[in-house]
Amino acid sequence: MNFTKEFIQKYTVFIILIVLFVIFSIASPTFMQVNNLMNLLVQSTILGIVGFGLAMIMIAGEIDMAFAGVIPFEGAIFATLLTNGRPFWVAALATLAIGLLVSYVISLLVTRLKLVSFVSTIAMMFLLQGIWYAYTGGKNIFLEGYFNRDMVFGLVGAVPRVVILFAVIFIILYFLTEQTPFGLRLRIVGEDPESARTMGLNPIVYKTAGFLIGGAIFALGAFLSTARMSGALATAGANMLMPVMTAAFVGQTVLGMGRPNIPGVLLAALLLGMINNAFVLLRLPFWSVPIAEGLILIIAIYLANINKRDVVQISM
Amino acid sequence: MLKEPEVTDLILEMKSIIKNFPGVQALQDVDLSIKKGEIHALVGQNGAGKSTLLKILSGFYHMDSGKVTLNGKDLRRWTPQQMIDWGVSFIYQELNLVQSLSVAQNIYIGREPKNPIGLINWNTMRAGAVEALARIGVTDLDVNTPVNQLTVAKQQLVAIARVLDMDPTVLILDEPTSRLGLEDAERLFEILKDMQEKGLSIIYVTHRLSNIYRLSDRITVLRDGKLIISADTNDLPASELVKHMVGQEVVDRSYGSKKDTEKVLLQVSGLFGNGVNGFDLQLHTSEVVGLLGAVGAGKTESVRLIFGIDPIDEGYIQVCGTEMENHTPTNAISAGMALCPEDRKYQGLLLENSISENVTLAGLKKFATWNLFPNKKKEKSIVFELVNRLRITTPKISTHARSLSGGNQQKVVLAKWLCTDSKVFLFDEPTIGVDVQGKAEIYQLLHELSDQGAGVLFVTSDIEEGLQVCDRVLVMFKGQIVAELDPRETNKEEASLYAMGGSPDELH
Repeated sequence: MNFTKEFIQKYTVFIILIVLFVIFSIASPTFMQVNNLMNLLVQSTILGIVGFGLAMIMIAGEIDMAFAGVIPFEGAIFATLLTNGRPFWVAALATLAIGLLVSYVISLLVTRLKLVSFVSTIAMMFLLQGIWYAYTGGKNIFLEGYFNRDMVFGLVGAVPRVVILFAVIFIILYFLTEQTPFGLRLRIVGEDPESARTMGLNPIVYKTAGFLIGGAIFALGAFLSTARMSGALATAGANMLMPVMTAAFVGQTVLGMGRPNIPGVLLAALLLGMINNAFVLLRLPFWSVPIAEGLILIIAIYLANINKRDVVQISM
Repeated sequence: MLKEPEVTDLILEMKSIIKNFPGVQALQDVDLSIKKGEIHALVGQNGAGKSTLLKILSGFYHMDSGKVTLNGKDLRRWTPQQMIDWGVSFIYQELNLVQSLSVAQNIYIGREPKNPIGLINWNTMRAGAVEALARIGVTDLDVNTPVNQLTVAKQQLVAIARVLDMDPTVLILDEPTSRLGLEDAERLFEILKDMQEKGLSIIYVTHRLSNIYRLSDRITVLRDGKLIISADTNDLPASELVKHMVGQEVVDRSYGSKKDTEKVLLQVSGLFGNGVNGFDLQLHTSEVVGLLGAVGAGKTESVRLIFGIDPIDEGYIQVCGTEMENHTPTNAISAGMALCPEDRKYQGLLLENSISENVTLAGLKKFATWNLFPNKKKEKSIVFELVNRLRITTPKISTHARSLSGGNQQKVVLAKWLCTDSKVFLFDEPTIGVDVQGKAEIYQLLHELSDQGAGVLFVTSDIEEGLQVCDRVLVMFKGQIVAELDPRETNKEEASLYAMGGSPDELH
C-alpha cells in the first residue's frame, strides 16, 4: 500500500507519459513514425529550453514571469539586426546581452530592493511588452531570405540539430544543478536562505547567478522561437507563458522531489509536446488541448502529493 | 624583559564594542576575551545583548566602534564567510541545517569535495561525513538520511560534526541544550569537554545554571547591553551570578492584591502536547496570575494549547464551567476566553484596517442588526468609549492600526476582547516593545479587568514585571511548571533561579 503510493508519487509523470504514448500510438498510425516523433521533439524543444531557464530561477527560490516579455523583445532585436544586414553573430550577441541586462535588472530589484519576484517580474513583463510595441510599432518582423532555417532545423542523420542542442543543454544543466557544488548551493539558497547565510553562502550572489543563467537561456529560447517562426512575432511570448509555467510546475512533481529540477522540466515538456502533437494527428478539436493540459496539471500535482501532503508541496 | 602572559594565550578579544540600533543602544562598551582552550559561558537575560555581540562577531552586524583581535590579528570589517574561513564557527539555537538535504550534504555545504572536472564527489563526501560523525562518537547515523527525518538531538550532532570538521579554533554555541533531553545534553557536554582538551576554545551562551557550572571555566555576564562582570567560574557562586544577571533593583509591588477567589474560571489539569509536559492551572475570578519563564520554557505553547490553537495530547480544560471537549479557538471564545497573542502584529491585529474595524472584529455580532448589517452608529460609540477608556493615543478611530505605536497597538488588541463577553483573558507577552508609560497603562488595565471579576493569565519573560503585577506567579522551565510563588514572599533572584532550572539551595 505504502509502496504503491510512493511509487505513484515518484513516477506519476513517467506513468502519464507512457500511458498516453501507448494510447496515441494505437489510436494514430502516423504517431509512431520517425518523422512525427522528431516533429514532436522539435515541438517540445523551445518549451523545454525556456522551461529550463525558468527552473534555474525557481531552484534559486525565485520566479521570473518576465520571459513572456523579454522573448518577443529579444526576437524583434535579433530580427531587425539581421534584416538591416548585420552579421549573425552581432545579432546573436545583442540578443544575449539584452537577456543578461534584463535579468540583471530583475535580480537587482529582487535582491537589493527586496521586491517579491512574482510581482516585479510581471511588472517587467508588461514593461518589456510596451517597449516591444514602441520598438516594432506592433508589427511582426519577418526573416524570409535573411536567415537559413537549416542552421537550426537541418537534420544530422534523422535528428534535427535543435533536438541535439536540446539534449546538450539538458545534460549540461542536469550536471550543473544536480552534481556540482554550484547547483547544490543554488538549491540551498532557494530553499533556506537563512541557513545558507549562516553557512557562509551569500544568497544575493547565487540568486543573481540564477537569474543571469535563466536570462541567457531565455535569450536562446528567443532565438529558437524566432528561427522557428522565421520571424519575430507579437505572440511569441504570450503564447509561451502558460505552457512554460506548466512545464516548470509539473516538473516539480517528478521523482517525488517536490522541488524545481531540470529532468522534471524535460519530461513535462515532452508530455505537453506529445499532447499537442497527438491531438492534432487525431484531429481532436483545438479546444481539447488546453483542457487536457489543465487536467494533467491537476492530476500530476494531486498524485505527486498523495501520502506526503506536507512534504511535497508545489511552491512558487 | 617581562612578557604579559595573558596576552599570548588570548585567542579572541573583543574590546569596547559599541552598537546602536535606531533608538536603542544595544551594546555599550562591551569587552569579551577568550583564552585558548577554555569554555567561556556568556550569560545574561533576554535583551542583555548576547546575540547582538555574537552577530557582530559572526559578521551579520557591523559594530559602530570597538576593536576585535583574532589570533593576534586586528579585524576591521568582515563577512560571515570570512569569519568561518578564519576558524570561528557558530552553532545557532535553530541549528540552521537545510532540512531536505542529507546528513552528508549538510556537513559539506560550502566545501563540497570535487572531482577533477568540477562535479561533486559523492563518495568522498559520504565517507568524509561518516568520519566527521565518528570523530564525535556518532556511528549509528546513515549519512544519506535527509535531516528532516532526524530528531532534534541527532540534528544537533550533525551541526556539531559539520563545524568541527572545519577545524575551527573558536566554536560558539547558542543555548545548545534548549531542545535536548538530559541524556543527549550529557553526550553534548562530553563532546565539548573532549574538544576543549584538544585545544578548541568554546563560547557557550546559556541561561541554564547547571550547564554553566558543569562546563565553563570563565563567565561573562551582560545586562542591558553592558558588561557586568567577567570572572573565573570558581570565583563566582550561583547566588552572585544570578544577582549580576538580574540586577539589584528591588521589585516594586505597586498593585495591591484583592481576593475574591471562591469561583474557578479556568481549570487546566495534566496538560500535555507541543513540548508542554504537564501543566496545571486554576484561575479564579478577580485574579491576575503570572506565567513566568525564559524564552523557550513553553509558556506560549501552553497558552496555545489552552486556547485550542494546537492539538492537545492529553489533559482536561474547563472554561467558566464548560468542559472543552472539541477544543478549538472558536469554542474557547464562545466559552468566554480571550487571547492576546505574543506576536500581535501577525496574530492579533489587522494592520491595514482601522482601529474601529479591529476593535469590533471579535464582537461583530454585538454591533449587527439581525446578525447581518453592521450598526455603524452603535459601533462608533462603543469604539469611542473604549479608545478613551484605554487612553489609546490616535487622531481618529479610522486610523490604520499600522501607524500606531506598539503600546497603542496592544491596547487595540485589548479593546477588541473587551468588546466580547470574555471572562478569562490570556495575555501572552503584552508588554514587549511597549514603552514604560504604555506598560503601566497595560498593567492598570489588567487589574481593571480583574476588578470586574475576570481572570487574567499574564505571560511574561520579564520576571520583575511578573512579580510586580500579579497576585500569584507560576514559573515554567522546560515545558513544566517548576514553582508557584507568592510575589509578596519571594524576590526576583528566587524566581529567576527557578526559571533557569536551579533550586533554592543554590542561593545560600
